[in-house]
Parts: sequence; C-alpha cells; structure tokens
Amino acid sequence: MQDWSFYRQGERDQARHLERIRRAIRERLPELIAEEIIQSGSPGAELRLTIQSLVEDSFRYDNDETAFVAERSFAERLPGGHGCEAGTLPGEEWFETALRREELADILWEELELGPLRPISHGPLLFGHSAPWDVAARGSLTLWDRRKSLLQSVRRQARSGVPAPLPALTAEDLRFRTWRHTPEPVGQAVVIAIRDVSGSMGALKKHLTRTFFFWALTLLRRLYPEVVTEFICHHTTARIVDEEAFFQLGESGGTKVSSAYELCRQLLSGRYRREAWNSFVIHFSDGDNWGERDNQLAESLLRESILPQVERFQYVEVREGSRRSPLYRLFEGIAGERLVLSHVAGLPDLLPALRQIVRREER
Amino acid sequence: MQPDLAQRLDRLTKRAEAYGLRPYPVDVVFVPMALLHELSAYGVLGRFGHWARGKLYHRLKVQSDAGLLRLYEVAVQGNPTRAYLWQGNSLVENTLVLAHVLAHSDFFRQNAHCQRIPADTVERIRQHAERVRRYEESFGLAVVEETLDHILSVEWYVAEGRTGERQPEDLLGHLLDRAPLADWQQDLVAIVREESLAFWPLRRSKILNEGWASFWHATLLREELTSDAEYVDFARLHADILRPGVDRLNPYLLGFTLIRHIVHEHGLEEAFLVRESADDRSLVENHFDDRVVEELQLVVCRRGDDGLCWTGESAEVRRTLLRQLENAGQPVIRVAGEEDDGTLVLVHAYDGRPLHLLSAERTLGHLAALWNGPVSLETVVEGRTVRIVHDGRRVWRLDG
Repeated sequence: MQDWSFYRQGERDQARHLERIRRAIRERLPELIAEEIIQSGSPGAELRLTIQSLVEDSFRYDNDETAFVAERSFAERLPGGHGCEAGTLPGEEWFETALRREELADILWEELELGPLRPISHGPLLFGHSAPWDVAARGSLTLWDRRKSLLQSVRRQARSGVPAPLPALTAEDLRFRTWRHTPEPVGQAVVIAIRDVSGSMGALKKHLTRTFFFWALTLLRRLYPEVVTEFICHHTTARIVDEEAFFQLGESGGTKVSSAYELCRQLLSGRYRREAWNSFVIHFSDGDNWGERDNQLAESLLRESILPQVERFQYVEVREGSRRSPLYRLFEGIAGERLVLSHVAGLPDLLPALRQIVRREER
Repeated sequence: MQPDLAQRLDRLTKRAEAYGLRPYPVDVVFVPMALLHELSAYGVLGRFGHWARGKLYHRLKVQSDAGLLRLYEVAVQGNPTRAYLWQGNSLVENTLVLAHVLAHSDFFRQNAHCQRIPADTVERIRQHAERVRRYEESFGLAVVEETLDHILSVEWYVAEGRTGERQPEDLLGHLLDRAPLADWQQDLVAIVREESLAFWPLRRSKILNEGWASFWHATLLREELTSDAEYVDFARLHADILRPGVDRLNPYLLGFTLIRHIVHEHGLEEAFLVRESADDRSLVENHFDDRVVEELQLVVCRRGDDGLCWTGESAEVRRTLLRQLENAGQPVIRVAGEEDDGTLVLVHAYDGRPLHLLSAERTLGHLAALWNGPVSLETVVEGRTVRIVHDGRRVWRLDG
C-alpha cells in the first residue's frame, strides 16, 4: 500500500504562498494598522486585503467589461442580477486575504522585532509557582513520562470500577513532560494617556493618535493579563476624562504641560502605586507649551516624581515637519530606559514609535 | 479495492469496448483527498512547485472542507491511464467514476489533438521537477521563484506549427531564442513551454472531454447497477456532477447535453467522429443551437450602462460562448518583431474585448525582466489604439 504522505508539494507551496502574504502585509503594515475596521470592529472583524503581488499576473480580459455565458440560475444569484439592474459582477478571483486583529498584531510584533514575550518590570517580578517541567496530555513521544502515564491509567481504571491485573495503557492515559511556555502574570498594568486639548486636533492627527494608542494598548495587553486605562486632558488645567472625550475634546486656552504631569503624579502615588502596578504613560503633544518656565516645571516633575514610578513614559510629539519643540529638546536630556521620545508626522512614523513603548533593553 | 469493484471494472471495460470505445488500460489507485487536491492543482504528481499552485491547492482544500466541492477522481492521461480515486468513495461512486475514467481514457487515446501529447509526458514532468529542485539548491529558492514568476505570467503563450518554424503566438519560444538568459533560466523557460504544450489539448477540450465521459458513465452505469438502491445513489451522484448554477457554466453539464443531442440527432457514429476530431470551439460551433440554450437556460451576462444585466437571446448566447472559447479564453497576443533599440514588440489581436490593464502592465514588467530590455504591447484602450511600454522599471502609454 503506497504511502501518500510522501507527496506534500501542495502543503509546501501553500507555505511559500503564506510567507509571501506575510511579507506583503509587513510591507504595508503602517497603512494597515491605521485601518478603521481593525480598530473599531470586534476582535473577529476581518480586514479584507487585496494584495496585488499575490495575484498571478497574466494577459487576460477585463472581466468587468466582458460578457460571459452562464446558466440562468447562476445569473439570478448575482447581486442585482435581474434583467438590467445596478449590481456588481462577482469578485474576480480569490486573491483577497482576510486578516483579523490578532493576526495583524502578531505580524506587528514580529516586525517590531520585539523578541519573545517578556514583561517589563523594574520592581520585583511577581511570579507564581514556576517549574521547568509540567505535565500535559499531549506531546512528543520522546518526552513520554512513563510513571505519570501509568498513574493516570490506574486512576482511570479505578474511576471506572473495573479491576485490572496490570495497569493497561490507552492513548488517553499517556502523559508527557512539557516546558512551561508562558510567563507567569506579573501583576496589573495601567496606561495613562495625556493629551493637550487647547485647540482642536485635525483629522490626521486624531487618526494618528487613535491608531497609535490602539496598537500600544494591544501590544501591552500581550504582556500583561490585565491592563486598565486612564485619560488625562489638559490645557492650563488638567482633568481626567473617558476615552471617547479624550480623542474628541477641543477647547480653547493656553497650554500648561505641568498641570497634566501634576495630575499624573497624583495618580501614580495614589491609585496606581508602584508596589502593585506596572505603569505606562503616553503623552501626546504637539510641542506647544506656556513657556520656558513651565517647560522646566514639567521636566522636573517628570524627572523627580513620575519617572521613578513608571515602567515607561513615552513622549509622542505629533507634529508636521521634522523640527523638534523646545520641550522635546529639554526632555532629550533625561531620556533613557524609562523615558522615550518619539516624533510622529505621518503613518510611516507609527511603527518606530510603537516599538518604543514595549522595547526592552537586554540586561 | 472493494472486492466487487475489480469485476465491475472488467465488465465496464468490455461493455465500453463493445460500444466502440478504445480506452487504454486503466490503472486504479486509491488516495486520500489531499492528493486529489494536489492532482487538480498541479495536473500531475511530482510536478515542480510554485506558490501559485500552492494557492490553488489550498483553495481546493478549503472549498472541499467547507463542503462546496467534492472531488471523486482525477485521471491522468497516458498508457496506462492512471485513475486516482478517493479512498472514501462508495461502491456505486467508484463504479460511476471508473466508467467516467474509461471514457476519458478513450478520449486521450482517440482525440486527434490529444494524440499530439508525447507519451512520456508524465515522466518528463518529473524530470523537470528534479532539475528545478537542483536550480533551487544552487541558486536559492527566491531567485528561482522570481524567474518562475516572470515565466509563468505568459505560461500559455506557446505554439507549435507543423513547419517547425517559430510561431508568432509562441512568446515563450521567442524568449527561448532571443532573450539574454542564463542557461538555467533558459532551461526553466523550456520546461514551462514543454509542459504547456503538453497540457494545451486538454485545456481546449474541457467541455468535450467531460461531456464525453459523463455521457458514457450514464450509459454504462444503467446496465451495471444491480438494485434500486444503487440506482438511486447513481441518480443522485449523476445529478450532482451535472448540477447547474454553482460556477458560471458547468462544463460537464454543457458537454453532456451536447453529446446527448448529437447522439439523438445523428447517432453514435457521429458522436465518435466528434470525439476524434473536435475541440470545445468546434463542438459548439457545429452542434450548439437554440434547443441547448433552452434546455440549459443559458444567458449572457454583461455590465450595461445601468448595471448588470443578462439576456437569454439565443444567437447572442451562441456568439458569446464561441468568443469565450477562442484560444481557450486567452487574449491572442503575438510577437511582431524587435525594434532597432532592442524593444520586443507584441501585438494584441483586439476583438472588441479589452485587456485587464493592470495585469497586462505587470505582465509586461515580467517580460521586460526576462528580456532585459523594453517590451511593448499594442492594444486598444477605450476605443483607441495604444502602445504600452515597460522598460523593467516604469510603464507608460503611447498613442497608436
């Protein structure tokens, strides 16, 4: 009897096809992560992509412009197909790829070269019971645990009430040694977002801000089992708002970054103390501030009271052009492991900025 | 093999021969479904790999898993004819399938166009795959894949004249003669060309071939089945194969209907002659009429000014179908020559149907990569003659 498992060309070539898909997606990542449906839809919502490089090129007729013969029952099932009505001809070819949020997040993670999942924590890591071996019901036969399998067999037979002279092993009895793959929970995390709402945000800036925040949160959720959020809006004074208001608000007045940092400091020493919380702060700024004095005030608040309490503080300057604001320049002096600075003028800047929020230095 | 099946195959063969069929001996192999998908995607087992074939394989698998597609068999031409049957077929299914395959085998053997397929095609295809693998090892997967991407964009642009001269439709042949390719790239072009030439006769006679096989599985089975229960199974299966409305036009249904009409009107002898000398286009040209349109409820779908519409006007259906079948549905593109600056000049024989422009531009890009120089294509866009030129980096259009 022939062994047909030898013929695996189809699987191999499909793997090559998938690799090409992934490559194509990686190339378009900056625009894909900004897609509305991926952010606002349910986790299962799919982004349908047309990837031109994965359509087999050829000389062919334009199907939209070409008449074709079909059985009436097929024609009747076409959308709008009844005599002459508005409708579309069926999709040309199956070259669409459907991508779900988690898959995109996977590719994003790979692309940012973040390495294996490891939480960031400067405090004591709150590991649970950790062991090199675990016992699982499935695994490679090379890791078969004889003793545990026999034990399982005895238990099973005892449960069924059937006495047996010798423990007999069935497939279900087999137990295997495995490595524990996932890190233990390291406590909770909070993401505090800060934004200056004096003056309204243009559509592009709003889009960039929302997109960045969405993916930063998604990435952090891979590291921590529980992530909560807080939103601080400010002009000359600061207050806490909900997520929707955070992105929508636009008021008039001047800007005092220090007001927001003061409120942030209070959250970090009150509700979100270091002992129990891993804190991340993302400050979206366009670089404007009240003046040099407030710049200094903000810098010292940041350096003395905020940075010691957080895992990471990311200052994101959302602004056209390439010139950095005085505030940015000031912060450069204290940038390091805990304070990272990013400049976002358009979609292409999002990926490098996202990398900063979860990047982990090798110790 | 189910014990009864060998005897049934024997009886079917004898009865088929009594009717006048001349199949090659049939070699039956039972396989898992994944293998049928692979055969459908690659045509032959052991063919060289490419991501596009993997994509097709995967699509077949997905449709099959979703219950949208059911493959029973794949027959590979040759002497003996290899019949791959799904391991899970019932006895009735296998009986029908074997009758179907016998007729396929007869078609491979007796049809004039198929007779031009070299007898050792399957073996040669395996040797090709071996050479492709060696190139992949020597030059790397990515490089070979890129070259194949270029070549496969004009996979079917091959031709063989009786005089031995290069035909203008033979794009791949022209590249072989004149393109500045490395030896191994030349070999890849030759491989693709040879395989396309071998598969062309089947490509141009899908309707005829499947119609022929369906007609005979119906005829032979009626005499073979032993019980009412078996008959019910057969009827269900037969109806399933001939089911309309799943894809635009079911070639099994159309072919079956045409052969039935021929037999009804002119007798079996005429049908045998058709099987010998026709292809899809000539089959439709000579035997497709109002009654077929009526019986199968065929319509022409087109995009009008106010959207999608369809009409069942008989003459138009016939006209449209004939056009669809010309050159197996492929735009006719010929090599016109080379310009002084080295540009390879191609001409599209425009017949009222415009090309898909983006695809054409990208294909020209592939050709330019192989040609290592500019390639131009004359075609008609929105009523005006244009020349599309691709130099390997950019593409642009010139008027007429």
